Amino acid sequence: MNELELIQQLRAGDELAFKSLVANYQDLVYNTALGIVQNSEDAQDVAQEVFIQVYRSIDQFKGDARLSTWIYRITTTKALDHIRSRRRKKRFAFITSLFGPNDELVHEPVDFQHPGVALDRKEQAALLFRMIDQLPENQKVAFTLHKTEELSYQEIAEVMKLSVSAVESLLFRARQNLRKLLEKHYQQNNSQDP
Amino acid sequence: MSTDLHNNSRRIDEVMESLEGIQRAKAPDFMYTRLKAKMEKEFDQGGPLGRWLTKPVLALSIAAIILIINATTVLKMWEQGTSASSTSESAQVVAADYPVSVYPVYNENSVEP
Repeated sequence: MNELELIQQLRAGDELAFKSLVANYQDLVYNTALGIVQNSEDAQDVAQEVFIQVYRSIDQFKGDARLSTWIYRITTTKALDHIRSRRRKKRFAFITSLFGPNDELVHEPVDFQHPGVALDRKEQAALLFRMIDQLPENQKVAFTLHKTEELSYQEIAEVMKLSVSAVESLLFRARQNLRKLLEKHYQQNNSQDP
Repeated sequence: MSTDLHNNSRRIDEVMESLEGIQRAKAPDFMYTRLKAKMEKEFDQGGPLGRWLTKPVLALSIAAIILIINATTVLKMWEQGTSASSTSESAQVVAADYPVSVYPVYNENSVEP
């Protein structure tokens, strides 16, 4: 079944077509979401929300981009929404914790370990993900798509609806910011060492 | 000092390159089954609007608003009742000061000669 046939069958409400869509794109969606939200349970939630959104709005897919580009776009949007919602909850938990001993603060997550990273690089990758989490949203999305999904600048530009030069600039700034954050991290660590 | 800087620079390079050759994470098993269960649950509840309307926070807020409106109405009615009785009292005082009474013009059973 090619992409056009799949879309037509999805529009007709064919359940088998939807099942096939999920099977074809679940790793793409899950891995992209995981790179952005940096938590496997949250990434599962985001992935489910993405497919529900695809199911609901397949009629709005105009076909001017590839289906994968459209799905990447929904995934990055949903993942960023999820992070914003998580931060709101964290702030609210902090406020409620001021008023009583029973409202515990939301736990700070431990370092995220991506399952696809080579064993000898786990520690460095965990540190890099911690720094990626501090980047502005658009730099974070561009960098994650480039590194974890290995998308080209052209593909990232299509997903983010930007020009290729804008993506180049975003990735350049993302690398610069990551280096600055890492420098700061190591300087603090060096000063703490006796 | 320069050794620290050199070490930091080397470590930063290593961290920046740590995602080279990363493998794509696989979605968990039974993704479709879980997704289908979630979709059925969502559609049964009438979608996001239905879920929002059945939230306990919303139900409690609506109940609180209704209680406040009721309390305000009862309070206003009570205040109006108090002012109505004082109005009738002042009317009686005025009536006593100015002899206002029914004219006996229409009194058909007049016994006057």
